[in-house]
This record gives sequence, structure tokens and C-alpha cells, in this order.
Amino acid sequence: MTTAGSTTSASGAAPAPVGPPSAAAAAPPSYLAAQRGILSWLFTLDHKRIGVMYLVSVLTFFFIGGLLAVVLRLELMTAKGDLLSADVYNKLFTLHGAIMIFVFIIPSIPASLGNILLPLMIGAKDVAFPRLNLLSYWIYLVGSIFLLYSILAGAMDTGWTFYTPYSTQTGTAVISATLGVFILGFSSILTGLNFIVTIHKLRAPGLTWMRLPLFLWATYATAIIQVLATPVLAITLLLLVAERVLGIGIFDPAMGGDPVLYQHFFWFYSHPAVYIMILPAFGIISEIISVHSRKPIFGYRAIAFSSLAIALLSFLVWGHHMFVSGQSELAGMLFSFLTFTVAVPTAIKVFSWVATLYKGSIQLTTAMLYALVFLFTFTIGGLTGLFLGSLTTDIHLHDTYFVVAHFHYVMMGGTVVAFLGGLHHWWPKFTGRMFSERWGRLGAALVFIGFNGTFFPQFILGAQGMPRRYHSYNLVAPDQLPLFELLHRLSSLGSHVLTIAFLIMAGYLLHSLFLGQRAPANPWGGATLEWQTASPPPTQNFVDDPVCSHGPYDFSDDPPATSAAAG
Amino acid sequence: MSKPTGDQAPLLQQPFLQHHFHSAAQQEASAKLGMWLFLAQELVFFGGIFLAYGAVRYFYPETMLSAHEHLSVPMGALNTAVLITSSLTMALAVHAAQRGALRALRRNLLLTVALAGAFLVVKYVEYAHKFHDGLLAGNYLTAHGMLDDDQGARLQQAFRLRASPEQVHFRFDARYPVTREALLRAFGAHKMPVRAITRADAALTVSEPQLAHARAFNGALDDPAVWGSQAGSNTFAVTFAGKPHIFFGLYFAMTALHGLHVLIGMLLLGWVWRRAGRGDFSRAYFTPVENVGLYWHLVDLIWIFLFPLLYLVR
Repeated sequence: MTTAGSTTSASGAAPAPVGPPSAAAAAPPSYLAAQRGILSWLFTLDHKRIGVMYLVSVLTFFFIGGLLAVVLRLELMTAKGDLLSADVYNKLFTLHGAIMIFVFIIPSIPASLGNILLPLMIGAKDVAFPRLNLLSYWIYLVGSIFLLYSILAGAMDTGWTFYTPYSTQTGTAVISATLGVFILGFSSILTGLNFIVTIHKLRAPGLTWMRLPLFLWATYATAIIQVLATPVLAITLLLLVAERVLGIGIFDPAMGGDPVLYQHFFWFYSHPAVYIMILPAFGIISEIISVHSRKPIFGYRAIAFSSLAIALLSFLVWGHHMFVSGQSELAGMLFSFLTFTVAVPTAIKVFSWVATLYKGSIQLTTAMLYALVFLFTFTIGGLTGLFLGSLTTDIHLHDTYFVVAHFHYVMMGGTVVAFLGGLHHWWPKFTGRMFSERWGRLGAALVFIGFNGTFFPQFILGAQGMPRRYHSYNLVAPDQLPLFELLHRLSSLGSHVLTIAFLIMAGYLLHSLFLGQRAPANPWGGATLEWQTASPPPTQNFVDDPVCSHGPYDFSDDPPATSAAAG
Repeated sequence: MSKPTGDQAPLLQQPFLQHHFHSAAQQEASAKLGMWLFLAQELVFFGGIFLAYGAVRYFYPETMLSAHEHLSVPMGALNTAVLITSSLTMALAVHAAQRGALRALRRNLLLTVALAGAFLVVKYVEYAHKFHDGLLAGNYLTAHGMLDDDQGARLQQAFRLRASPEQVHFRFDARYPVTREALLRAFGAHKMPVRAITRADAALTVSEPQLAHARAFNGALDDPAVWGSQAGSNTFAVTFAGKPHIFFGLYFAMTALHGLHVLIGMLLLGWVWRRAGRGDFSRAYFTPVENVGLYWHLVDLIWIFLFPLLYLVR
């Protein structure tokens, strides 16, 4: 919250006139300057302010989760467990996972960037249900507090998946953590619901579905998953709590239950959930690549509909998490096949982005660099997913560092990199300030180096048989110990480069808030509606209700970008 | 058509039009779509627990058949009738709102709340009966209420131990003899099939941690002194046939979740009733009535599925 407050004061210094209606003829005050004080943030109904609060919150949790990861990597620099005890290590990786998944990455792009951008991009004044929007932020806070409380209550050591029967027996704080995740689910559902209705009902005149920015197509597909998959997680966690408290016996084999049933329940949500995480990232990449190469996106419709296809397929592949859990062979084969079909719409996107770059006038801005990093790392992450989706190779690779590396290439090399790209792309719009491009490019380069340095060795580790979630590995494969230790050290070294990259980023972004150059309304020459209003936008978003007269990636110079509605 | 910019007073002819909508029609369409999406996620939510039911029924069909006998079909049928009637009064309330008939609207809303209350009262009676019998979820299922009066008076504790979660231990006052056959008869009289019943006196040694995990219906077991002083005396370990603890776990989870939705529905109905009394609604604006109506019909619909699945197993 304090950072949000400082954002206010930063822009409060701007000479934006506040108050007297005589100034109505001049530009209205920006949303940052319209009101002051912490309460004006906590009780705001303005989607942009709510988005900023989400942004500050998710970045805070990213910082906490990242610190935990750095500690884990420190422990693994040596083969013996000499920094942390095994118990503490188990708790730390559980917390790292739970925090990163549930309070950082799921809300990261939709709830922060999406909240701010969605109404701006469709030329609306707000989302359809502003009070519901604020409520979902509060619910998010309450859920986060439950999750953080579990740290004080002794943390939990189940891994972020809460697999039974261990999660019903361990003496750690499973209940407060699962209740926290349960509550966070409501926040996600309500945000998704709000976004679907907003996109359906609040588009500006002329903004047809085929003129919708691809970020919004992605957000829309995400919102469908949020609304239709998250309730299954809710019921799963309720049943888990009931199992733990009452022992109702449906997951615990000692009482006649089936632990694989829990896994089915859990992954029925949690597999679609990885598309909640990655789809908005696809949307951001579509925007950045088109705008920063000054070229209309290649295959607009294909990209738009492939988002919907991924959302649909995401519900049909959960079983690939249980290839070795005792699922039937037939089910394994079907899930393996369906998993491969996800590669089709995903590849359509990647090829369309590359085709957009072809003969474009590529500008190597910070945002564009992140998009290029994304293309590289996400492609590796996506393709290694096929190794894990194949039944035979998965038997060898499952529960090894190969899985860890694949997951991080998709989630961090994909979602987080795209999130950072989007943050830089829209930073001038959100804050009204330009950051230092030079430092920004340095940061992006360090993220690329640090990320690959951290996670590429883990592919090799996994393929050589290093199991995941081990706190010491001196006894795993004594003949391979030198190799394991070398690769683990490389990986840890990479995590330190990443840390430096993030510190640099925090430095120049904070600097820009106070001392950055004032941003023009449209610094990158974007053609979508959010660039047609001031940076930062006024509370009402647009001075005159916008009318959309062209597609989102129409960069021809002549058209009247936006004509104000006839007054 | 566009409104002037800046903060204008809300247009008087549309008192509940929020600033970010262009028209009342747009606002109403948004609210309706939002409600339908909410109902969709409710369906998925309940779908999850129906799936759990399906899995358990697939694993243990005999348990479903035998355990459901303990549910009262007349009570369930009565509640079904009550809820269907409440859906009718809710539909009448929406119809009254469409006509702008505020008195009829309030009357029908009140009737709906009353029927919802009646549903909960019947449910309370059913729950009370299950609590009395000890037909509870998971570890708490002891069925101690099925003992005959003599045995009941002599019963000191009934509990499960973590080490043997499928067995219920019955500890009787050591001064009165209770036989295996008498216990079998008592459970048999209540259609509670028993697979095994053993005297646990010798076999049962309870350690401190087990004691901590044991679930005592009367709380006395929490006192190690009580246990220690009488250890080894007049205790039976009963294994009921099938998995009734799972059936009742599901029964309580499903009906409690549904009951919670009924309760929330009553609050929403009360809120709409109050707004109707304040004169908020007219033929031009009654979206909240319609949306609460949609919610109420869904709650009704879920019960229509719960009733046959739980009460009418064949």
C-alpha cells in the first residue's frame, strides 16, 4: 500500500488542477491526481486505481516469492543440506509455489494490467461492475492474509498442490493455507465475470469483435477459464478441509477414499489455471510485437480464435499430470493425445508473431526486447512440454528437474517476461512518465541471461535423473555428483543474475516515477484506444466518448485515429 | 446521445443508472449477463461435489443403497414440495415486478422467504435426528444413537481412533455386562449393517497421541485420566458394513452447501423486499428482483437433483 501511496504523491506533484469546475474546459485531472489519501485508494471504484493496487500487491508478492526462491537456490549450491533443514526446505518450496501461483501469477496480468487496460481499450468509462471489482480486490487481500498467516502458524510442507493423503495428515498449517487459496478463488472468479460482461456490453460504438485488441481476446478467453474452472478448485479445497477436519474419507485410502480422485479434482482446475497464467501473456505479446514493429499483426483472426481454442482444450488435458499416478493406460493415451492438440493453437500464435516481425520496422525498445525474449524462452518451454506430454518420456522425466525447468520456462520465461514487457509497454500510460530506455534494455538483457542461466541447467539435471524437491542430493547418484553440483551451481549463479536484473528494474522504474520525463499520450504510436487518451488518463478515461473507426493494428498515418462522438 | 462529460448529477428519470452505462437497457443487459455467468460458476461448483458423489457411488454402490435408508423420504419430499412452491412464489414476484404491482411483489417475496425458512426448519429437524443417532460425517459417525435404551444409558464413549479409522469403539460402564449379540440386535433393528464386532478389551491399548486424535462424542475422552482408569474394560470395536461414514460425509457436505445457499437466498430476498418497500422498483427498473429470482431458481434446481440422488437411491 505504501508504494501505491507514493505513486499518488509522485503524480500529485504534477500541476494537474484539482477542484474548481472552472477548469473543466482544460484537461481533467488524471486518475492519479483526482483524489488523495490512502482511503481514496482503498475505497476507489476506479478500475485504474484498483488495477494499480493489484499491481503493487502482485509485485510485492513476486518479491517475497522470489526471495524464497533465491534462498532455495542458495541451499542447492552444495550437495549436502547445510543451509536449511529438510523441514524448512520443504516449507520454503511450498510457500514459493503457493505464493507465486495463487497470489502472484494468477492475478498478475489480468487483475493488474487487465483491470487498467480493459475499459481503456474498449473506450468505456469503467468495468461493468465497479463495486464487484473493488470487492474482488478486498477478497484477494483477505485470501492473501490467510495464506501469509499460514507462515506464522508454522507454514505447510505439502507442495503447492496439497496432495492427499499427506495433506490430510501433516501437522502443518494446511487449513489456513487452503482456506486462503479458496478465498483467492472467489477474487479470480469475480474478476473474470466482470471482464466477460464488460467486453460483451461496454464496447465503444464501432468497436466490433473483429476490431478488439488481441490482448482483450486473450483476457476474454482467460476470463472464461477463470469463471468455469476456479469453482472446481473451490469445491476441491472444501472437500480437502472436510477430509482433514471431519475425515469424511473420500480422499484418504485408510478410510476407503481415493487419493487419485483428489488429483483429478485438483488438476481439473489447476491445469486450466496454467492457461489463466499464460493466455494473457500471449495477448500482451501480440500487442507489443505489432506496435513495436510498426506492422499490422499477422493472422489476427487466427490469434484471436486460437485463444478461445486453448481455453476450450485446457479443460480436456488435466490427466497428463497423472500419467504415473495409477490412471488407466487408455486414459493416459487419450490425455497424451489431447495434450498434443494444445500445441496446434499455440504454434499458430508463435508463427503469427514471427510472421508479424518479418519485414516489420522492428524497434528494439525495452518492451520489444521482452517480447523477443518471450519468443525464445516460451518456445523452449512449450516444446519441452511435449516431452512431458508423451507417455514414455514422461515416465523417465516426471518428478525430475526437467519438470521444474519446463514449468519455469513457460511460467517465468513466458508469463513473467510478457508481464514485464507489458509493464514497460504501458508504464507511460499508467504513470505518465517515461523510464530510462537504456537501463530498461540492460535489465531485459540481464533477465534473459539470468533466466536461461537459472533454468537451462535444470533441463540437463532432470534428464540426468535429479529429482525435484530434494533438499540435499549428495546421495541421489554418487557417480554423477560432480555434474549435479556443477549444474546446480550454474543454476544458482543464474538466480543471482536475475536478482540483479530485478533490482536494476526496480531502481529505474521507481526513479522514473519521480524524475522520469513526462510521457506523451502515445509514445509508441499504438493504434488501440488506450493511446488516444492522456497519459495518465483522467478518471473518466476519455474526455469525449470515443468512437472506434479502424482496426487495432492499423498503423497507416492518415486516418482520423479517433473521432469524438458528436457532442 | 453522448452525455456531457464531468460529474453530472444522475439523470432523474433513471435513478439507478450508474455513470459508466449509456442507457438503462445496457445496464440491465450487463446485470443479467453477469448473473447468468455467476449461475454458470455455481453449476460448476456444485458439479464438482456431484462428481465426488458419482465417484463414491461408483466405488461403493452397496453403501449408497444401505446408508440412504437412514434418510427420511417423507421429510425430503416435503422439502422438495416446499422449495418448488417457493419457486412459484418467486416467479409470481417477478411477474408482479414486471407489472409494477409493488404490493403483490412484496407479498410474494415474503412468501418465498417464509417457504425458504420452512425448508430450513425441516432440514434442522432432519439434522437433529442425524446428530441424535450419531450418523455424522467421517470420523464423527458412531451411530451410538441406535443402541437400545439400556445400552445407551450405560454407554460412556463412542469414538474412532486414527490408527483404525474404520472401527467405532464403544466403551460401556464396566459394571453392566453388554454382549456382542445385544449390540448386533440393536444395530440390526435400525438397519445398520455390521461387518465385524469384537471385544476390544485386550487388543485395545491407546497411546497418548492416539488419544489426542480420537473423536469423542461426549468430550470425556479428552481427559486421559478417564481413559486410564478404565482401560481394558467392556469395550467393543464395531466395523459397519460398507462406508457409511463417506455417505454421511457427502450428505452433510452437499446439503450444508445447499443450505448455505438457501440462507444467502433468504438474505437476498429480504434485501429486495426492503427495496421494494422503499419504492425502488417500477415497471422501468426491477433488475435486482429478476436476478435474485434467477439465483433462487438455481438453488431450487440443485435441490431437485440432491433429493433423488441422496434420498431415492435404487
